[in-house]
Amino acid sequence: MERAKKGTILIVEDEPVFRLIFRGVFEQDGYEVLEAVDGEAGWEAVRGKKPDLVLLDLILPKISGYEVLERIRKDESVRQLPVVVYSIMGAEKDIQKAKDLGANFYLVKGSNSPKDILLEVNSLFEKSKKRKTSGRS
Amino acid sequence: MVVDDEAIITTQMEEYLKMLGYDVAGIAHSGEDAIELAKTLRPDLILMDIVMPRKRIDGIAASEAIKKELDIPIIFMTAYGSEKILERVKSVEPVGFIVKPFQESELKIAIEMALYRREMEKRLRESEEKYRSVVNAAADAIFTVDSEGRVVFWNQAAVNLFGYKPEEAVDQRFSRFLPEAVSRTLQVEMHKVVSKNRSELVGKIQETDGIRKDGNTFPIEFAWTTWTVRDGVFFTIIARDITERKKIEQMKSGFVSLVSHQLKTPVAGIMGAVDNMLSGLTGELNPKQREYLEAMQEISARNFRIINNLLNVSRLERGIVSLDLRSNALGELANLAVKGYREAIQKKGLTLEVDRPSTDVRVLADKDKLVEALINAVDNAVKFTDAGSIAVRIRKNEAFGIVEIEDTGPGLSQALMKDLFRKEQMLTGGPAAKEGCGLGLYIAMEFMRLQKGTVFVRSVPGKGSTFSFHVPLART
Repeated sequence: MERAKKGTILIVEDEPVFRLIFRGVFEQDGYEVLEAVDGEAGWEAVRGKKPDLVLLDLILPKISGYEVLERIRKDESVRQLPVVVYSIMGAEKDIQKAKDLGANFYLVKGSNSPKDILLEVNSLFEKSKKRKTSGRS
Repeated sequence: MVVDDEAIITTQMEEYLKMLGYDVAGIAHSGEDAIELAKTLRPDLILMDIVMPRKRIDGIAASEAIKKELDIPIIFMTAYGSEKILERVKSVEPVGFIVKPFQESELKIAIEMALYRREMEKRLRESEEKYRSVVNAAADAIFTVDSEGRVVFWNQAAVNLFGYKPEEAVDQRFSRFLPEAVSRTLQVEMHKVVSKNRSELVGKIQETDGIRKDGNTFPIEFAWTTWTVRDGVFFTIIARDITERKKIEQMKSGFVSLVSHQLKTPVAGIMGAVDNMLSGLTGELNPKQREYLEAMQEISARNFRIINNLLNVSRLERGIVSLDLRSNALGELANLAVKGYREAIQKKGLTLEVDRPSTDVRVLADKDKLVEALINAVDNAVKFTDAGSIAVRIRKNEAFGIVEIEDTGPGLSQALMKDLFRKEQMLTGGPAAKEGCGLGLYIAMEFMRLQKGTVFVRSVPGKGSTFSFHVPLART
């Protein structure tokens, strides 16, 4: 029996192994997964497919993850979209830059496991669900 | 040259002067004559009477005319010293002034003084000329501002660097050439110099941006100094364009981080994939498969740390380690360092004690560097301890926040302790290298030093080791 999906996650990531890893983790947990392999395709998918959350790499072909994040936060129709940044860059200044641009979470490849990511994604979903419900009532 | 309307005086003067050993080049009996004669004779000195009642131009007016064209020192002679005359005399800046009647000796002194003063002025001008040519040939921008911050001097390199000609720069406030925050601090420090005669920033080299006339900015380093003369306090600022150096630094660090990311990404990929398999995502594992994957997980994590360490050593050697000092909670940073090792500690059957004071100790530290330094010590503690415990304690003394990492491992021999923090021990296969220490402790020590802290080690062979990380407390 097909369970109702928890939501749709867009993975913007150029490295196939990370797409494989996250598709696995998210699908097992009941999410629907979309993929984009560069910044431009990522931004197109954000606007065209309206995912519920984005997992965003920073070093990407065409346009960088920073740029994608900036566009999301400047666009009225998608600015509320939760964004989790997952990058190989782990320096404090990289983290601060992404947070200043509006990243909800920042996790570092190699230091944070796929399980860590799933935990953050789940908690973000909970929060945005609550916000939506309270917004309706 | 002697100027006086009364022939009896000029004759007497001529005699006096000859007796004293000077040549009299010429004599004039009126202001008009004096001007003409000075032009043709160009004497070394003029003795000028002031009051010449029957003549159209008096001595002061004649001197003014001469001064306009020639640089000849003038001594005034007069019988009357009225206030009004004295005022006018000052405006011509005479080198001497004698009151008639005077003695031979008075005249001699006046002349000698005048010539001496002239010589000194000439030397001063020459030395100023020398100084000016050095300052103008300098590759660094050099400019001087007064206590109000207005430019009074602007050298050639400053013209080239900032794009303002000297006449455009003079009287401008220096804040026009520097970012607002920097010039504000500078102004505060300059006020300190004026009021308290001191500033810690004098002579210190600082980096900032310069602002060109066209509004573009460029990186500079500058230092300033101060000097006091009769007119007040002045500040000289020397600034150097460091665009090229910055470019090279950026290229170097860009290359290092590029390599770092390219090396680390595949390892992180393996770690993630193995994590997924171990958590059962790809189906149930038999014990053998689990053991293999755990070995892969362990070795990938080690690989990741080795890449990090190599890149840190490379950054340290190139001197391109940036430092971002902020107030940080020491206990939280220690927790971050331990976080990745909790599982490994548990697996080895060790206990972990973390002892933090109820109010966290705030230190002035670079978060990344301090955590990295601590991780290197924790990594060793976990690697070398097979039974017992690892304790992490946070405390402080008057000046430092302290993290102690204590293990119940094999401890360190004297020979090991000596070389522990040196990278050479690793590269030349010293005793520490044979025991499996990596570059971690060298990095730890260097990172602590960068943050004005240090690492101490105590060890009893057979009992264990304690590494104490000291980092300056944040001022509250």
